[in-house]
Amino acid sequence: MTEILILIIAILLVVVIMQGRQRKRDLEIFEMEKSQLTRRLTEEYSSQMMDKQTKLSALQSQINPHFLYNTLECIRSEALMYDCDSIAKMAKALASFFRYSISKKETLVTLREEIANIENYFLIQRYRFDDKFDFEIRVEPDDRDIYSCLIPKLSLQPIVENAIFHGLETKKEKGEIIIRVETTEDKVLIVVSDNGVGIQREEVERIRLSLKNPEEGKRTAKHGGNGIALSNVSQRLKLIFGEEFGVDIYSVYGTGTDVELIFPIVMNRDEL
Amino acid sequence: MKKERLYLKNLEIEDWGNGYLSEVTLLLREGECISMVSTANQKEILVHYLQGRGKKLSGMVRVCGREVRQGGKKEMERNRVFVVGKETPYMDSLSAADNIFLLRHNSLKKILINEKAMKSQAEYYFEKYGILMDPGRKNGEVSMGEKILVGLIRCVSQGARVIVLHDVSGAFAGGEIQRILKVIRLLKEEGVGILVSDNHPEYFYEVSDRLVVFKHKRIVKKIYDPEAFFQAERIIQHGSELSSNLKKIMPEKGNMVKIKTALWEDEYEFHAGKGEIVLIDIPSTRMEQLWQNLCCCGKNLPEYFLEGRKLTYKTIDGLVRQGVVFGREKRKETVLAQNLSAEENIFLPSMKKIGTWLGFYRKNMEYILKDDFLLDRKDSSQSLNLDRDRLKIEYYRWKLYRPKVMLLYNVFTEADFKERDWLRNMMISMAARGTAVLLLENEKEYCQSFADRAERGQS
Repeated sequence: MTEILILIIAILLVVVIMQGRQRKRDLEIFEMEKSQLTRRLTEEYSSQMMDKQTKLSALQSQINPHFLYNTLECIRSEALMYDCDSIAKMAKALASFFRYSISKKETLVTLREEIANIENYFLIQRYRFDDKFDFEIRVEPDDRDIYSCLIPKLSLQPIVENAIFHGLETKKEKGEIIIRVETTEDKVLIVVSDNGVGIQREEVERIRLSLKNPEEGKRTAKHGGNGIALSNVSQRLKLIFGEEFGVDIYSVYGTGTDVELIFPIVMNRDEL
Repeated sequence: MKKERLYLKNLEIEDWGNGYLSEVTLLLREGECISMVSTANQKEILVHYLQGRGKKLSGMVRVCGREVRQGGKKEMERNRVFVVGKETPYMDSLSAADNIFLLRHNSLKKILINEKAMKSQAEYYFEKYGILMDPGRKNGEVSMGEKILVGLIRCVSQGARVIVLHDVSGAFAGGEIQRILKVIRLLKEEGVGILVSDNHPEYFYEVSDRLVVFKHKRIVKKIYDPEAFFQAERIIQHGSELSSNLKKIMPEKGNMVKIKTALWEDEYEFHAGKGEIVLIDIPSTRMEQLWQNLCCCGKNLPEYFLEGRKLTYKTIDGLVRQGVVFGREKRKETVLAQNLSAEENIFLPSMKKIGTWLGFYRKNMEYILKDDFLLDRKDSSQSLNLDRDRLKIEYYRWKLYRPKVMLLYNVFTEADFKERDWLRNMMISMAARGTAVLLLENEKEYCQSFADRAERGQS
């Protein structure tokens, strides 16, 4: 009899323990679901926030440029009123430069527009560096039509910027940047040359590597190195026009740098 | 808009057994003349390729918009790319007119030779290009310069679109160079693209539209402005200076080698101990002349002392026999035999040393290869390629040969990055085997990193 009683108690104990474990498991599942729900809610909230932030930034970027252009126009008109031509020119160049860089949405622009943007950029830098550099664009008389060909927006500006900051800024004597445009029946070759300090052999090698393999270039890039801009331009040329085109760099320390861009002549976006 | 004549994009080429060029991107348009400048044996690789004597490893070659796949001589000439140089074949027993019209591919499949037509055509071309020459004159009687002009006319008469002038300045004495410059100007006006590869590129500056400088086995600079052409020589000679002069200490193991030579009014004396790497620190402008002197090409033979004993010799061969070897200098002991395998090429100068009195060397060769002192871990005698690994084979050869003294001139300066590091390790291991290494390099800063000391040598 006692044995039966012990058995019943034991069975009851097992059942109670089993129920306790089940409850614990349910509780764990509930906790897990709760934390998942909280995470999802947080993610959704943050994505909504990011979305709103993006929209806000977009709105801001629409508002700010106009504010900027208007202010620059105001500065220009004030400068003209006080016969201060240099400030007026600078303000105009700066407004045009920003209008082109920020507000112009097309990825492909004409060479004429790109060169005009560089002229504006150079004008600003010229004031900044007190006429330390000269700038020249050489296009053969027969090749004037080439100004209408298409080029990715802001392809030349980073190269000119590199030439100024890495090549000419540290040079003691007066520097010069020459952009040569040469054409064949189907290609354009643009050479941006500076007579600056040039680049050390190891650095040229690294930049060339980054032109070939952009990921490797990013990994090995020094802080503020000029390889990333070139690699970016080269990648864009390759993406738009094909692998056979792109950027090449030639430099010897002490004798300046030449950056060559080669791409096909495309006059119309439909040709792409 | 000018037409494209020659377009090379990321070209990697190999000249059989003479090295390679990589990342060559070049655009030659109609009526343009590009002069190529380089340290020894770099621009020549491109010329040899255009001559059909090289091999394309990668990249693209386009002639007049048409891609060239193989790049043999026939294909190049079919695409109207011609090379004219001192090596161009001429028949001295034939007249100039015959040389123009007979020594070429017979594209019209004609059998009969119309001598009158050939002569009148030759007269027409000579008049057109202002060449004062009698087309009937035997080629053996004319000067080398005139032979080059005949070669040029031969190319023009075949409708050349690209002409490569290879080392032609030597054929024109003094003011005669103007004769070829005049022809080049006329050819440019006609739209022919011209590439000049010459030891005196300055002779061609006035007709050149740009200069392409080859160094470290690639293009390092393109000079677009004729006023800046003078920079080319500086670029070639440019290297890195010593950051600080290494302290001059006399080698501990005693003077194994002493070299005395005169350069203009200055006397130079260099010392190196056994297993020592010495960087000769003299200005780049003097290096070439000093190297010529050391290689016994100067007027006075330099004095070489080995372990206190003055070496007696008359030519560079005498020095090599006594254990003084010269890296970079193209000589019979540095040339690779194409009919032998890579390992046989490595063992070639040492065969006598390792062979038995009957001349059997193969067994010893096997022992040496089994021992891992000679080759790098990455290399095996089977993996070495006679074309691709020319440099490695050459220096493995020296490592095995174990010269007493090794002199190198701009070997590190011309090498690419991989080769440079490999060479450094090789020099260190050769020095460890007792060879005294003397370096004459423009890239002094790099060589300083492994040299035991630097020596100015001027007494």
